[in-house]
Amino acid sequence: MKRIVSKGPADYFYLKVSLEFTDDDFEVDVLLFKAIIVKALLTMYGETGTAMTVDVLKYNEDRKEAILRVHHSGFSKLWSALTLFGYYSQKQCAFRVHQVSSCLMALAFNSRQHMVPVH
Amino acid sequence: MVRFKNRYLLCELVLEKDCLVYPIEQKEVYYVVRQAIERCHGDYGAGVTQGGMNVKYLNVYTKTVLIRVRREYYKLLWSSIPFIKSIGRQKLFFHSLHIGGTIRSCQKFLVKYGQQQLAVLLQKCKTQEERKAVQRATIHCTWLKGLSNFENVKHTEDDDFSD
Repeated sequence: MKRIVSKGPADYFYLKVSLEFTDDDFEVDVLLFKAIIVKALLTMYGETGTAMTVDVLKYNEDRKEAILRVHHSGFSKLWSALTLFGYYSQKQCAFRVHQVSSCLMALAFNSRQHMVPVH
Repeated sequence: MVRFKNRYLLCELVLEKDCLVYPIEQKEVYYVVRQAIERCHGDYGAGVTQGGMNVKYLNVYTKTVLIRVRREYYKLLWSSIPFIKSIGRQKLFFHSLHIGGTIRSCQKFLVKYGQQQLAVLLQKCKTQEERKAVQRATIHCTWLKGLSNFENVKHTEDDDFSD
């Protein structure tokens, strides 16, 4: 009889997301990005949703891409809230989730977006 | 077995200005509770509780409310209730007393709670008349309880308890 010991879920989950607008000229700085994430959680899960701590670890303003960190208890809530978020100040937008991992190192490389230089 | 299991939340309305009767309708209580759930738990909370939620009983004289909700989502309702501050223009708050699986269990709790409250009221009595009235009510309750336990015992009703 094998005994399986589980360490439980990982402490934090890391997501690489980017925010896409139909109108690409709209500039979003890191504070506005965090506010949009909080707004997404607010519409979907109310005030208890905004109570979960989501950290923006890295933000790329040109591509509106960020690495987020969330506690494992709020992970599915965050992802579902980002998926169902469609409008910000009368502009259509969408969150694209590129990578998700419980280990931050795994986000260093993405085989889907990796460009192999062709000589 | 496929059956919808529910939880019944028993609450007491505590008004700002305690008047005997304030005209509140079941509809109003329902909308206020829906709003509170939507504020605290968002679209998810509102959607998930909408199917099974119902204000089963409302008594404006005793200010008791009984709200039904599906068993899986009773915590969403329970946690949103404290955030209700008013209904219409009347300021009040919900004092949640008991969560039961059936209406009958809530009624049983209400009977016991009423008896406990009588004991509290007795301490708060200011005039001799009030004290006598509360004592009479307490004795009547315990007599009724004793009667339900021993159904065959005959009592002469008003002999021992006339003041």
